[in-house]
Amino acid sequence: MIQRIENNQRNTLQPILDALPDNIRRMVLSINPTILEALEEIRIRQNRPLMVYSRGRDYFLCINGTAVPHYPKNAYIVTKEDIRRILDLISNYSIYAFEEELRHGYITLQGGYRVGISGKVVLGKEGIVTFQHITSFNIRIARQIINIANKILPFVIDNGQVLHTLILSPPQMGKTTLLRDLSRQLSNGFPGFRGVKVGIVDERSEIAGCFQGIPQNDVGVRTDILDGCPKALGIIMFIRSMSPNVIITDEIGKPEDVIAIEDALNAGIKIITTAHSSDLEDARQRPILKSLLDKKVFQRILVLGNSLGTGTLEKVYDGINGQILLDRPIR
Amino acid sequence: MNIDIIFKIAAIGILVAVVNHVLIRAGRDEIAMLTTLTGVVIVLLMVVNLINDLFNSVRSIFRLY
Amino acid sequence: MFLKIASSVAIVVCCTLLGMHMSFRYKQRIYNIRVLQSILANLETEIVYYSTFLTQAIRNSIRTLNGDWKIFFMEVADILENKQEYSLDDAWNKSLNKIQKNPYIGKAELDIMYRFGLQLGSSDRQNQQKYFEIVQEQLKIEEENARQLHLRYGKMYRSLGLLLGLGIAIILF
Repeated sequence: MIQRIENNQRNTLQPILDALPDNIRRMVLSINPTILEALEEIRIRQNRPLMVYSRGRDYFLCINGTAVPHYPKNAYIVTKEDIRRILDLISNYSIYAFEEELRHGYITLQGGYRVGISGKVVLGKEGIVTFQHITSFNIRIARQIINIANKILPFVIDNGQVLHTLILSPPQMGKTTLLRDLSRQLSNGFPGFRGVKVGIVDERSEIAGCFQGIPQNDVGVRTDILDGCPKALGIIMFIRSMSPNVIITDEIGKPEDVIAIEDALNAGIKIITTAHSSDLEDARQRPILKSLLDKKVFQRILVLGNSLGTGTLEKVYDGINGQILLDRPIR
Repeated sequence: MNIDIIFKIAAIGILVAVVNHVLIRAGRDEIAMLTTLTGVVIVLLMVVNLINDLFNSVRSIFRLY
Repeated sequence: MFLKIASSVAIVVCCTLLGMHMSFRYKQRIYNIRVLQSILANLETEIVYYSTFLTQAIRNSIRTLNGDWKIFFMEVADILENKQEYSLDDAWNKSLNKIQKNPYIGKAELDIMYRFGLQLGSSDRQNQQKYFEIVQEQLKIEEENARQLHLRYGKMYRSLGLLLGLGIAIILF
């Protein structure tokens, strides 16, 4: 039984293990299973100790394969060679294939995991051209949590109709995870709701975690994904050609996003989107969001927080008449 | 005395001439020179016995001991 | 007497074949360079226009071609696919070493490919395209060289083989 759990763990981590050079892989695999199980990040910085982040705190990895919370003497120091090997492995020896992603500072691995990258950048006329030296990696282990959207479904669906929904949340509160599961449920359907066509405009490959255009997370059977496409362009492309019932997108914030959303509304397409903000009052401070809220575009406004742990649903407003539909946090 | 050896030497001569020509056409003059030399040496090796015989005969005829 | 004639004929035939073989090397080298050029052209398309991953790009670009360079590229793709402990440079050099003794591949091409291997895959598409252009140019020069050599020495080796055979036969007769 334990063996099976371990195998399972190994399988989900496999794409990440494949991206690590032998010596680091061995160290990661030999750390305490309870830490490994809840692994969230692996931080790799050149000439600095190798660290993992798990269960809310970080650990240093030692040469002998243990993970300790305080900087130990025998911590493993990442070498230049390690960095080069990791870059080779995560890019499949093909930096050119990740040109666009590199420009945004990440690479998506098979399995939808993403690796954040930093180092010395080269600037050109149109912003960042490429990296000259890459010195840090942040391997993020995103876990898909099936059924996490169950608690918000009653607020998003009314009489079998999907409502225009805005999800407000501070960073790192499980917004994207929620969106992912929401997409899956709306697209597959569930008892009492027939699945609808869903279009995801996934500008930063976070929702579906596409690897070579194929979603690595389960986002539903009736879901089409525009991977790496700017939101405004993507929404218009979907309206023109893919006839979705619902468009899901992440983190609106640019003026052109607002125009695209209005286009979608006119075409009778439901929009589900998110924005960085801690509550409704905070959202009103931001001009773009304020204009959307004033126009009463969204029928439901959901606020996420962490009063009962990450991903708590704090409040739900009716965006049209401002009524509060849920006033105590649920998780 | 064998008449064959004369034909042999003649054949080698022709051959070396042709090889020489081919090599010069290919632009390898040094090697052409070398083959000519080898040809000469090979022929010399072949006739050295005969020359020895000739000397011996001359000596015996004129009694030059 | 019969034996003598038979063995002389055998010597002549052998030496002629040897000469043919030597001249075939030049011909085959030209063919190999041409194949290499088309492999690299395919690879360039795969990389610059389709951004295929390197291993897949290599496999796609050698699919319809033959020759000694195909073996090299297959080797590289195999090593990379098995992953672990090889960087692209290592895989590339290892495979290059393997075909180093191949008589149908000239040292000049090996050098060009060695330098090319250092740059393959390690930069963005624009850069990659530049490298491809450079390597194609160099190969074009090498192809011209190989053609010259073939014209000059190909014929020479063929006739030299025959003549050498005749020479040995005559000396030993």
